[in-house]
Amino acid sequence: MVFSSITFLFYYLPAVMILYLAVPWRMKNIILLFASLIFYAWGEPVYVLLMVFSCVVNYVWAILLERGKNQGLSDGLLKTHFILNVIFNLSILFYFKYINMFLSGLGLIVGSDLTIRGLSLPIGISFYTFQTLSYTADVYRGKVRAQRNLFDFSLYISMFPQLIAGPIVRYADIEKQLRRRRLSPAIFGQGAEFFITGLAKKVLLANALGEVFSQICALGNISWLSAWLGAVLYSLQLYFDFSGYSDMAIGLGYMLGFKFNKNFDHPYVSASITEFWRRWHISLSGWFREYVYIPLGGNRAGKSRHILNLLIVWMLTGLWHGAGLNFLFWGLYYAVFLIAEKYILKDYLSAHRILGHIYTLLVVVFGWVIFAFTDSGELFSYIGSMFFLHGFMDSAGFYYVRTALPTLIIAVICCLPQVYAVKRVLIRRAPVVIYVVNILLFILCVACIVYDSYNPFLYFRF
Amino acid sequence: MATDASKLKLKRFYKTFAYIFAAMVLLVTILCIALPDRELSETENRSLAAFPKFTWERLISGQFTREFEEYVSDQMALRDGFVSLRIAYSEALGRDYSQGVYRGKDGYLIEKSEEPDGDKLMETIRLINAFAADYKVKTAFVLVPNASSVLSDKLPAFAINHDQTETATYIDMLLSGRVDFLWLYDELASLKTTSTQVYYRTDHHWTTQAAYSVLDEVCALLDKDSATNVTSETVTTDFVGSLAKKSGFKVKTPDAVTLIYPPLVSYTVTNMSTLCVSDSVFVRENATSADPYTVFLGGNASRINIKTDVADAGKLLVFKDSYFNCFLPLLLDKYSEIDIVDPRYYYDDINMLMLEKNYDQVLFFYNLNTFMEDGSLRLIFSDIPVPDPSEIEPEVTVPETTEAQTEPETTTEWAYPFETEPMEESSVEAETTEEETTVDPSKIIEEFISRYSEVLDGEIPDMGTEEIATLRASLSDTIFIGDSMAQMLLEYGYLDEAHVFYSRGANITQLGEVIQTAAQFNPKNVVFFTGLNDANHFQNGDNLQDYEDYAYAYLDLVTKLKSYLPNVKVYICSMLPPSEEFGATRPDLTRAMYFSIRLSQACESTDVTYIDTYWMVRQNCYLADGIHFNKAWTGVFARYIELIIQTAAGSPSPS
Repeated sequence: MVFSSITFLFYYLPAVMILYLAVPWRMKNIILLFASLIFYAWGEPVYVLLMVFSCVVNYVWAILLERGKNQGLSDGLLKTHFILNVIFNLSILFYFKYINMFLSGLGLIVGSDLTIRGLSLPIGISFYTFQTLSYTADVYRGKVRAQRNLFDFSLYISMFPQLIAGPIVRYADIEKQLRRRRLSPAIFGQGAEFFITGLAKKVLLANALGEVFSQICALGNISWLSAWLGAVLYSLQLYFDFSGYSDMAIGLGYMLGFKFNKNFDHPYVSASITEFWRRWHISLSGWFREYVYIPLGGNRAGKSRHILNLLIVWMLTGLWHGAGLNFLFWGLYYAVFLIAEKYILKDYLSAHRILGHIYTLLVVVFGWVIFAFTDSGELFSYIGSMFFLHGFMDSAGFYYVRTALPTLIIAVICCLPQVYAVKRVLIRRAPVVIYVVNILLFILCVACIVYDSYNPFLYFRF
Repeated sequence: MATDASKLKLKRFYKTFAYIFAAMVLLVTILCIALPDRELSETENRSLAAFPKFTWERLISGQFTREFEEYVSDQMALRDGFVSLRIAYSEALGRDYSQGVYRGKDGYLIEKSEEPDGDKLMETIRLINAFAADYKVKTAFVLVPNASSVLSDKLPAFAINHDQTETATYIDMLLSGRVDFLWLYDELASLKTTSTQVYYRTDHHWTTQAAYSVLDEVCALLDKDSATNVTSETVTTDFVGSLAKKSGFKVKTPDAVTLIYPPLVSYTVTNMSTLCVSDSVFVRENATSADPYTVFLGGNASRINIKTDVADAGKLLVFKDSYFNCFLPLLLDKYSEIDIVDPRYYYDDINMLMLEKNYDQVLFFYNLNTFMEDGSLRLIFSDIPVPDPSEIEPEVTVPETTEAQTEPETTTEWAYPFETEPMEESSVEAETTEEETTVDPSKIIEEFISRYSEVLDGEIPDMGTEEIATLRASLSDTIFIGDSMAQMLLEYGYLDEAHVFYSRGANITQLGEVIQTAAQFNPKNVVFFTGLNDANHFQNGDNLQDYEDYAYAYLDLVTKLKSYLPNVKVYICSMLPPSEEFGATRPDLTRAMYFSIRLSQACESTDVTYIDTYWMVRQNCYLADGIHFNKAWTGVFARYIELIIQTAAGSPSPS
């Protein structure tokens, strides 16, 4: 199920909320767990079993790991124990997400098609695998105690707000809340406000921007103007799509009494790539820093080792986003800029914020183009257009500039932190304005969602 | 202190908002549940999804949840209001393009013209040239530009649009000297300085006034005297046309539809597919229907024949699209007989018609957009060698059809050009080995068809419980797979759930999932029965390609089925047409016939048996949606399939 659907907004959400609020505290986690499993099974009726399997296995495994630790097993044995768990979790992820990429590469070498057909990616597997890994790693390192309650543990893995698209919640951050949390109308209202912001980002901005971008892509041999317009639109689309989803997840978390950490912090105001990645998908970069970068030695093991560590982390970050060579390149592309900033550009960038800002946006927007095309032919043709290969400007470019401009301006404004500061002021000074704006946004979002099923005349089903 | 107060304020704000949000969501939820479900959406011209059927299989396959999502969106409270809001919102944000339609200036909705496919264009022209050369008949070609080029000044600024004049020049160059070509751009563009409206604001057609204004040029092309005494009559002033429906853009000024015709001619119009006869080329009551443009000729039909009281004025054959419909009346006093063929719906042999009728003139009359997009001209001319006149008997259009012999000729012209199933060799073989040689299965089927053709024409008796039990028993090893068409067998109670697997609204490729479920039941026979979803789905602008894609998608599906059940015997039923009434509003769906023809051809080289059910089509058996059939009809259908399967198995029961 997705948040931006009639089913979720007007059937699932009210039903779950009423039930959740009605039952006593000791039942709330169980209700929430079953609601989450239904949420997942709605779109993935079979793969829900995979997730449940993963929950049960990791639950038992973590307890055994902790027991071994308390019984004073040798470090070597504990390490093996832990590494086996990592292999277990990663091999599930590898099988469902990367096996076909791997086999098609192998197939090119042997000269036959080895790919497994009909293998679809279970939704959210990248997110919940990383949550599981953070949990067993923290148990292994003694940072948290293994969860004894299977339901509470499964709830941590499968809680519906963050299940499908993050944020990646670390067990340590939520352990206490699983046992005790506060519910109040004020917290619920704050969550609802967050949720509507996220819904509007996704439905009103991301979807509208994406529609124009896909029209531009469909043109073929586009001019410089269209190509850069498309790249900017896509960059904004990704931001509003992803951060909108995170906002909705955080908002729903609040409504249920959970506090998740911020996942996006106005990334497009960054003045360096390093800053960008501190503000973009914070929970993912945090995960890689905590569980890959620092264990590899971070920046404390010499310059060459530091560079190698960055390359490894960013290669993995790239691949995490998708099973394709373009994602790998996209990750390494960032590694190059991050290394350059750490060793060469750092001082210059902090002295010239405006230049730094322009540089960052150029790098990021170009990066999203690499991210957008899994097909290398399409990718190179698009990049060609960005470098004047198919003309400077054309009527199509002007057309899209003209028609996308209002949405584009609104989107750019919504990237700025000042907008949210104004909102906070208005909440205190003129709350009615914010009420009205939120109600209107919600109604508009619903209108757009309903419109998606509007199939007049030629395009209908029966 | 100040911070405390402001914190309190904030808390109060969010508390109130919590109640607002909860109230807002619950209000909609309650409305959704409380308001009754609607069956049809008039604004969208389609039937809305109903609450899906629950079974565990459907839940596990994901079918149930998918249909549930469809159901709740379709039955959403205030749906039409939300849709209008969304359209108004995107218009406010400057979006002026929706579903292939621009919102132009002065209230004009203008269809975007796409770049033509050069290869296809050349092939079409080649076939027209060959046609003109073969028959040595005077051939003319009138090509009407579309609003996107004539009214290009009304397009939104910088709108992406293909230049039609360039294409027309290219066509002119390709056409042989035998074809007189007329491109009406200058004539129509010059009208812009007058008060004549050239195109409807809300519809993709040109106006009757515009058609009338080019009468002189067309008559000059056809060597006719253009002097005509005409009457003009406005039949409606609130025409909201196809472009408005397609795009959803708000219409400020609806259009007026005017008829212009010579009042003094009398004539007879015969629709050659329904054999309906009329004394008018107008269907005036359609002026107030959902599609008022069908006031002209009652919409598109495969072939319409007009005989006038004008003596010795010659016989004209027209290949046309709907732009011709409002122009036709102006030709009524200029010919003794006019045959109007719409290649999109015509499936008979053009060569037969040419030989039979001996026309004096042939006219191609198209608007450029349709001429570019439509592949049916290529289909009807596609390299059928011109037969030697001495070898054919002019009356028999379709010599191989059994229906032509068994069906009373008056019922319908659906007599159609493919072989019926019983002629298939395997069934004949099966019969001779196992049965006493006294019964010839093809005879049995022939008898069945002739008997039930009569039944279908009259009152069809319902099946009794006993008959249903027999039917179920003899189809116990058979499973039906399909979309809502197959569902009919279940809904009407002819078969049970273990024997019908369907996915509503699914196209062929989407049936893959259903197959997997069905295969678990290990049937001996599988019968596919699907409807118009594929005619809706395969719309890539090239009809021939669509038919091809459809047929091969079907055979892929069979291959997939055989990967689970290697020994299964597979039957595929025809894609039946929409009702004529509904077909008039959805010409793309009337391509069902071609889809079926292509499918039957594709099946020939395989061991799949194609079951042709076109002989069963009766207009009065359709449900209100013009797609599905009533219970009694479905009963006949089930019996027919039962018979085919029994015959193939070698034990035809005396039914």
